[in-house]
Amino acid sequence: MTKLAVDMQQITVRFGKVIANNEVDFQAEWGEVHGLVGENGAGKTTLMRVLYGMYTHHEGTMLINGEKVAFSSPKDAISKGIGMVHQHFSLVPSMTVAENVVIGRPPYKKGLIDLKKSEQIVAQLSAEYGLEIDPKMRVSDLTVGLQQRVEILKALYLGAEILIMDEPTAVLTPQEIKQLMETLRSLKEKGKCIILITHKLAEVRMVTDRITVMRAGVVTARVNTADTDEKKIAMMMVGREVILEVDKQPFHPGETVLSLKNISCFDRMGLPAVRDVSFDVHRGEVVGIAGVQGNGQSELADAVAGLLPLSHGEVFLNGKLMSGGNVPLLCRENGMGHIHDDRIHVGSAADLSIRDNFLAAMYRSDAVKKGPFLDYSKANEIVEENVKKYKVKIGKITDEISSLSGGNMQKLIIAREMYMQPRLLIASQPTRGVDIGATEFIYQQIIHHRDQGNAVLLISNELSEILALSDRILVIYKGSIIGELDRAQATEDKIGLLMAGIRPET
Amino acid sequence: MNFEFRQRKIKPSIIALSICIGLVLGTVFVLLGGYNVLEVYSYLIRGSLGSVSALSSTIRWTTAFLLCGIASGIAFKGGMFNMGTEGQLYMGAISATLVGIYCKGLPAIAHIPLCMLAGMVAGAIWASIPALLRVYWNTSEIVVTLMMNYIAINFTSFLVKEYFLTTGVFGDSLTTDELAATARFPVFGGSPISFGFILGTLLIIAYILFFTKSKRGFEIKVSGVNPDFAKFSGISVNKVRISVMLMSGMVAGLAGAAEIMGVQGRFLSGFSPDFGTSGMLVALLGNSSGIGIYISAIFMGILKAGSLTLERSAGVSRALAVVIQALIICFVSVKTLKVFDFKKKEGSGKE
Amino acid sequence: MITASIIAPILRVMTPILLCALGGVYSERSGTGNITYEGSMLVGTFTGVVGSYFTGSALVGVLCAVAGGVLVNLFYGMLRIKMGGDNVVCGFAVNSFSIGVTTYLLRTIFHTNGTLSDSRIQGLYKLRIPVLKDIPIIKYFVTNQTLLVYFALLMVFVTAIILKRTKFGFAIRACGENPMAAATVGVNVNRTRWICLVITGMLCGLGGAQMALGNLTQFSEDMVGGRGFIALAAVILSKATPLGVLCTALLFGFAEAYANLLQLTSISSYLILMIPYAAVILILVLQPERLKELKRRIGMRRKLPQV
Repeated sequence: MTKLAVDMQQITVRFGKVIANNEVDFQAEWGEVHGLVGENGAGKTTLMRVLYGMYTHHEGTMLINGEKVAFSSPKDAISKGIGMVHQHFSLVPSMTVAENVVIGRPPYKKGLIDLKKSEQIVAQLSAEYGLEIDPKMRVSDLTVGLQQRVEILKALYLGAEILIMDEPTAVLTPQEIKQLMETLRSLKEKGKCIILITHKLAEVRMVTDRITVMRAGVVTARVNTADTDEKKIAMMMVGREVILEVDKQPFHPGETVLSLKNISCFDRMGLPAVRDVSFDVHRGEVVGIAGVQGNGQSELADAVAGLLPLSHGEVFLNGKLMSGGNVPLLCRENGMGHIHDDRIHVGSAADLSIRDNFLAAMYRSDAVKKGPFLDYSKANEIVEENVKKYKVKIGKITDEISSLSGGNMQKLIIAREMYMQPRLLIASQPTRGVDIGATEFIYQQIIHHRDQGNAVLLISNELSEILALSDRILVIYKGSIIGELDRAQATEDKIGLLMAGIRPET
Repeated sequence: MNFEFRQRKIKPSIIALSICIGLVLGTVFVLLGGYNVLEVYSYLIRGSLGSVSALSSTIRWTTAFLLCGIASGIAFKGGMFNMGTEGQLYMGAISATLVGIYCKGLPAIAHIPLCMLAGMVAGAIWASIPALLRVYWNTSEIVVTLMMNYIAINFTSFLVKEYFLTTGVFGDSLTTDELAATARFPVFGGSPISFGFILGTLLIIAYILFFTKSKRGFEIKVSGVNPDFAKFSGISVNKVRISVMLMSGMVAGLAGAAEIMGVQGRFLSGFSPDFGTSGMLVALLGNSSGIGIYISAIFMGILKAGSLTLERSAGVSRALAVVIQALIICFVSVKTLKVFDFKKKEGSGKE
Repeated sequence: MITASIIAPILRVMTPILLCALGGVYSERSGTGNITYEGSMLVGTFTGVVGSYFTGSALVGVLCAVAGGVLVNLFYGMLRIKMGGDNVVCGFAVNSFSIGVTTYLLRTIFHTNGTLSDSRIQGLYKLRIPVLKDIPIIKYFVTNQTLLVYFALLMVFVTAIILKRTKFGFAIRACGENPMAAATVGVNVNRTRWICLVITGMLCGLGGAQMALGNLTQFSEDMVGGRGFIALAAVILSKATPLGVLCTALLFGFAEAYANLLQLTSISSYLILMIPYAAVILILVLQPERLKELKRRIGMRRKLPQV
C-alpha cells in the first residue's frame, strides 16, 4: 500500500475550556475525495485548520505522505503541498485574478512582480485544470462561483497536492455545484488528495470515496461511501434518528397580512438584489422562501422590514403602505416581528445586556411605560418571565448577550420578537448555527404562532426546514420569485429544479 | 478602514488599572526630568486640595472639565466621536460674551440665562454642521469636527479683532470688553463652590436620569452600541445622531459660556487650554457614564490645579497633567494588558 | 494675484502633509486604522529640533525626527496590535500624549514655555543651484527647497510601485482588505502591520523635520497645528492611493500657500488661516464618489433593475 497522504493522530485542540477536537484520528489517501462530515460546530473546520497550520496549539502528531511534520504557520503547510479553500474566501477584492493567484509566490522580473507573467501562468493553469477564468478581472467583479475558482487556482499554483475544501457548496447554485464536483473528480484523477468538509449529505454521496464523520469534537465513524446511505450518515452526525416533523393544525388561511407589490431593491454594494417580487402572506399560514444562499433572500427580508430602501414597489402591512422616514418603526408598530438572519451584528447588540436586548423591540409598549420614563423594574419582570417561558439558559439578565451560546441567543431573540404578538413574523434562517434540540423548539414556536392565526414569512436555505414548516413555498432565484408551490404538491425535486433557475414546462 | 466609533463597555477593573499605569508612567516622566517624585506629588496634592484657594482652583477646573465631559459623553453615547467640542465651546463663548456685553439693562435673573442660551444655541449650530454632513452625506464626523475646531478658533479671533476689540492692551490675546455685571455668575462669598460647578452637578444628575430612565436615553444607548441593531429595532439612528450632536454642541457651548461668565469675564482669543480634548478624556475615562464623568472630571480637576501649582513652585511643566491623562486614556480601551505573549495562543490565521 | 512664484511656497508647505500622508498610506492600506499622524509629526518636530540643537547637525536632527515619529507609532502599535485597543480612542489618546509630552520636555530640557528658537538649531540644507536658479518657472522648483521636498515627491512613486509591484505591497493590501487572505498564504499579518507603522512613523517624522528644520528652524507647542489631521483627511479622501495623496496634498498646499500670500494683503489673517481647514471639509464633501452615490440614490427611484 502506498503512503497515506494525510495521517493525523490523536489531535486535541482546546479553545479556553472548550475542547474543539478530542483525540481525533484522521486519514486520507492519495487519489481520493475524502468527505469530512458533521454538524455545525462538530470540529471539522478546526481539525483542518490544524492540518493547514493555522492552529498550532494542538496536541498529537501529523504525518504528510509518511513524513512527520509540525507546522508553525500556513506557510509550512503550503510548502508541504497542502492547500485550503476557505468557507469565507481569502481573496483581496481590489486585486485582479492573476494577482490573487500568485500572491503567495509571485514571479519576478528585475526585482519587481511580473504582472504579465502572472497572467500567463494563471491562463495556463486554468487551461490545464479546466477552470476557465479571465486573469485580468478584478476579484470584486466576480461571481461567488468564480471567486471560488480563483481560490482553487491559488492553491494549485502553490503546488497543492492535498486540497482542503471547507463547505465549498454553501454559496453555489446547483449548476456551479455540479461543475465543482467535476473539478474535484478531475483533480482526484490527477492523483491529488481532496478533503471535502461538508454537512450536506447529497454531495457526500455524489463525489466522495470515503467519509469520516465527526460529532462534538470526536470521530464517530469512518466508512466507504459505497457502503452507506444518507440516512445512516445523518444518524452518525446527529447521534440519533432525526425527526423534524411538526404537528400542525390544518391549513386555513385568513385575510392578507403582508402584501408585496413589485418590490425591487439593491444590496449594500449597490447591485440589484431583489427584482420585481410580489406575493401575499395571509393569517394562519407559513410562506416559505426557498433558494440557494445568495439569491436575494437576506435582502428580501431586509426590504420587507424596511432595513433596505426599495428602489421600486410597495410593501403593505395590514393594508397600510409601509413608507416614510422610519420604515422599520412603522413596520413594528403595525405588528411585525423579525428574526434577522445576522443575529450577531443586526439582530442583537453584543455589548448590551440581555435585558436591554430584549427591551429594544418593546420599550415603546405601554407595559414598560411609567410617565415619561421607562419602568425598568417592570421590564426586568417581563424579561425574566419570557426567559423562563422560552427556556433560555442565562446567568443574570444584566449579563451581556454575547455570553449566551448560539442556540440560547436565538431563543432569546425569538422570545423578544414573539413578545409583541406580531401579526407577521419574518423568520430568516431561524435555526442557522443552532443545535438540533433548539431547532425543534424553534419549529414548535413558529408553528404555534401560525396556529394562533398569525402570518409567518419563513426564509431558509435549508430545504428540509422549508418543507417541514411551510404551507406555501415560493422559490427565489437571482432575486426573482421563480415559482410557487403548495406544500402538498411540493417535492424536493420540484423545488430543487426551481432553485436552479429551471422553470417547469407548462 | 473605517473610523467609525462605537461605544463599548469598559470594565471598571481596566479603568483602575489604566489609572495605575498612567500614574506609574507619569512618574517615569517625572524621574526622567530629574525631579523629586515625592516633592512633585506633594505639590500636586497641596496645589489641588491643600487649602481653600487650592480647592477653589480645583473646582474651577473641574467645572470646565465636567461640562466638556458631559458634552463629549452625550456624543459618545450616541456613537458619534465629536472631536469638535473645542470649536463648539469657542462659538458658545463668543455668543455668550456678545450677549453679555451688548444686551444691557437686563436684570441678572434674565441676563444670565439669556447668555447661557446664546452659548448653547451657538454651540448647537456649530455642531449641527458635522452632524448633518455625517447623516445625509456620510462624511466622517471625526475629520469635519476637527477641522471645524481650527475654523472656530480663527473665526472667533477674527470677530474679536475686527469688530469687538476692547481698548487697551491685554497681553498677547485679543480681548473684548468686559461683560456687564448682570451677566456674571453669582459668587458665594469665600466658598470654593462656584455657580458653574453647581450647574455642572445639576447637569450630571439630569444626564444620569436621562440615560438610565428615559426612552430617548435608551434609544441613544442602543444606537451608540450597534447602529444596525438600533435601526432593526425601529430606532431612527439618523435622528439619534443629529440629536446627540446638537445636545453635545449645546453643552459644549454652555461650557464656553460658563467659562466666560464664571471665570474670564471677557472673551480672550485662545482662552481655552484645550478644554475640548480634556472633556473627551474625561468622557472616555468615565466611559460616558454620568457618575464616571463626574468622578473623572474631579480627578482631572485635581491634576490640573495641582500641576499649575507644581509649575509655579517647582518649575515642572504643567503639561505633566496632560501626559498622565493621555497615558491613562491610552490604556482604557485595550482588551489585554499582556504585551509579551510568550505562549502563542492563537494561530496566525486568526486576525 | 496668483503668479508662478507661488510654486515655491506650495512645495514647501505641501511637503510635510505629503510625507505624512504617504506614511499614512502604509498604515491605512495595511488596516491599522491609525490616526496618530498628528502626534507622530509633532514628536518628530520636537525630537528633530532637539537633535539638531544638541549636535549642531541637521542630519542628526532629521534622524532624531524619524526616530521620534517611529516611537510614537510603536507605542500606538503596542496599544492597538498587541493590546487590542480601539483605534479611535487610542489614536486620540496618543495624539494628546504627544502634545503633552513635547510641552513637558520642552520645559524640562530647555526651561522654556511656548517656543524654542535658538541659533544652535541647525536648519536643513537648501538647494541653490547656480544655473537653474535663473531659469524662469523652473527656478521655483529648485531654489531654496530642502531635499526632503524631492524625497517626498520620489516617495510617491516608490510607494506606488511598492504597493503594485512588490510582494510586500501585496501583503500590505491583503492585510488591509482581507487579513485572512494574507494569513492563508503565510503572510504574518501583525508583522506586516508593525512594519507599516514603522514606515508611517518614519515618514511622519520626516514631515516633522521639514516643518521644524526646513520651513522654520524652531519648535513651538502644537506647531503641527492640525496638519497631521489634514494628512489624515488626504488619506481618507484619496482612498490611500499614493497619487491621490499627492493630488490632495497639492490642493492643501495650495490653500495654505495662498492663505500665506493673502496675509500680506488687507484681508484679516485669521480669516485666511481658516482656508486650509475649510478646504478639507469642502473637498471631503465634494468627493466624486459621494456625488456618484447621490446620483445613484436619485436614479434608484426612477429605474427598475432589469432582470
